[in-house]
Amino acid sequence: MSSVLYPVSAGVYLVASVLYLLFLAKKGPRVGSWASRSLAAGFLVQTLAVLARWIYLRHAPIGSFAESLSLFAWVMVGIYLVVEFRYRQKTVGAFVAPFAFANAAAGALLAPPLTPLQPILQSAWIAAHITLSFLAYGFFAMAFAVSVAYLIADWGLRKHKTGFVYNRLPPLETLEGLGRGLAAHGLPFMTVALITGSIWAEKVWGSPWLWDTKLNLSLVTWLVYAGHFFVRNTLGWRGRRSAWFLVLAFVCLLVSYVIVRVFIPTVHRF
Amino acid sequence: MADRSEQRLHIVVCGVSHKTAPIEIREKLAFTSDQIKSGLKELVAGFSESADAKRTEGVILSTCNRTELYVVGDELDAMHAAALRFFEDSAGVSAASFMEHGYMATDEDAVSHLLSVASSIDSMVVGESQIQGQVKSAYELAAEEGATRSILSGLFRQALRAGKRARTETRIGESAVSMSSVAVELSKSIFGELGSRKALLVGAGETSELAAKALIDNGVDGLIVANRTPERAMRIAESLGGEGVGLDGVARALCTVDIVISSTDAPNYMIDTNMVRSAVHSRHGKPLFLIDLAVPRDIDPAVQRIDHVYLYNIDDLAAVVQANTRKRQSEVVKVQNIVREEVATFMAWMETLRVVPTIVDLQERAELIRQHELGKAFRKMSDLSKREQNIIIALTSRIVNKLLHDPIVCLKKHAEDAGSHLYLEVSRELFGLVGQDSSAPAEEGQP
Repeated sequence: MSSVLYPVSAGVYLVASVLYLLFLAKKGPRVGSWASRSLAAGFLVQTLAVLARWIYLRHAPIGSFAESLSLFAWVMVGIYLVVEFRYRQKTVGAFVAPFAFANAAAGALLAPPLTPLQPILQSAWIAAHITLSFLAYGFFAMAFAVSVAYLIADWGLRKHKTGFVYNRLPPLETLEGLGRGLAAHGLPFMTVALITGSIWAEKVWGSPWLWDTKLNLSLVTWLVYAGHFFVRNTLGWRGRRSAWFLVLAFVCLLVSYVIVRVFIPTVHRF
Repeated sequence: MADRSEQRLHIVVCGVSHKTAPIEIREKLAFTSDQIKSGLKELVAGFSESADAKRTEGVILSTCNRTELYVVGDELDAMHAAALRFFEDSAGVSAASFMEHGYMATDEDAVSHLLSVASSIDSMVVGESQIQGQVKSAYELAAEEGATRSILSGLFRQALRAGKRARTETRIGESAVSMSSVAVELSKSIFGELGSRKALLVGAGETSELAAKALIDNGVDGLIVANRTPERAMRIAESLGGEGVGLDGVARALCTVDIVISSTDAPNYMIDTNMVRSAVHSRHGKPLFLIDLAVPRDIDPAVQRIDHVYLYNIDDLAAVVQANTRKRQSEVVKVQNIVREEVATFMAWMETLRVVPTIVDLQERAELIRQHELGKAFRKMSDLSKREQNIIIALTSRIVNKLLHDPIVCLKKHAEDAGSHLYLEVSRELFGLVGQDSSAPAEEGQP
């Protein structure tokens, strides 16, 4: 059943993406509420898919790259839905929904194997590590999207640009507050993720840390986000500087998550 | 029976607008609602001597862009004359003057005009939203005075629908097209909601004060007015709601406000980079929005390079206004299409109205015949029971309805055809509805 539900959820995300883009174009409130509803529906379907898979496999569906992509989409959408509900801004949805679709579609297409989990992964610590990592990535990815939107809006205002895109971006202050909050939420999750990963590494590899590209880059990423938190709150960095920081931090994250995974050998591969 | 369907009802609009008449004429015709009320009474009483005065209708629409009369009646000439007379009597605008500066349109053109007006494409500021409410109020006022009936109520309903469609289906009303509203929009795109934001007005002037007022209307809840003469500052502050300071208070005020509007006639910069830098510093990097409406400029353009500062001078604002106005203009064609569609819908509806009198006449005549014959029959069969009587009554009713069903459906079906009047004429002749002379024998000796 889950092998049907995953593609279905990707399909619903596609519908949501179209609706959000339409909303961006026309700003009709009805289109907007349908966009939100379809995104929520996609989230629901994907939740069911995850649960179905979990039940079927008897372990959390976190073993393969494909599954992790789907999970990433799921976490992002979940976080976005909460943000949209609180801030009532649907514009960022036009970035999030297509991104979720891309991830969910990739995850569905790569057709994860329905095999039992490798013994090395059967541990509560690793489950916690993976879940928390994804939550952290979700927050950071949204912070990235929001920061990009901020930079576009800021550039438009400084260059006195009017136009389709600029009229539709959320207010500058909203974007900034959002970016700040999202990054701040992501940091503790990533911290605990690293800790739980380390605990698990001790159990499985006999050492809390290994000199491995992926692990090192993850640590660097954590340092960058922690650095952002520091300059934000202690040095009072705001606006453009803060936004660029978050953009660069996310690039770090992408490198450590995707590039390394695909191109560079690492022990952190399952 | 009175032959009512032969005389077509006409819709006429008669008026002046900013497109045709200068302000001197328009201001004579700027009616208050009391004047409109008495005007309506006069207008409706003034038409159509021959036919039913009950069928005449009138609405007066008076805004700063236009004053127009919408009237419904049968005699075109009488309506035109009454309208001209109305303008002369109530506003002292002679017929000659009116002919020079005003316009008249009939039937479909009048409908098209009202729908264009309601869709805001005839306004001075295309896409403005006030007109919808103004059209609605004009109709409601006339309805209260009993000056409207089905035609104008249908027409104004259609107009409001067209206006709503124009606003929701096109971007005609989007984006600000005045300096003040652009200032407000830009402020919102920086700060979001403006409640708890504060503004500083340096200097004075119509545009800057309008902009300050617009900001306050949109939620800004703290205004400082700075002027070379503190008394003038306080006077302006009082009218807008804020505090007044002298020019020496500007540097300090910069630290507490989010939006600055400057328009003094000083030849040098009132706000320089040092002031802005220290303001930004004391605001801990919160954005500062500076609007420089002065020529020569009040604010050193170099402040733009300071982080967290957004500066728009008068040219920048005007460019936004222009870009937005162009955008609205490009939407006009779409609105015109909508208007065309709605006009067609209304004209079709009006056509179906035309067949109604004939259908009513037909049914009344049939009923008359039925009752007459029933009476005759019952007089001859005086010993019928109640039940038997009811059966016969029902029988006659059914026969009449069945016979009339097809003709009535046919008339309604062909109501919108070009040849509908032919069907009406033939129907009236066939069923003996034409005038009183050729009434059927049943008319004689009615009980």
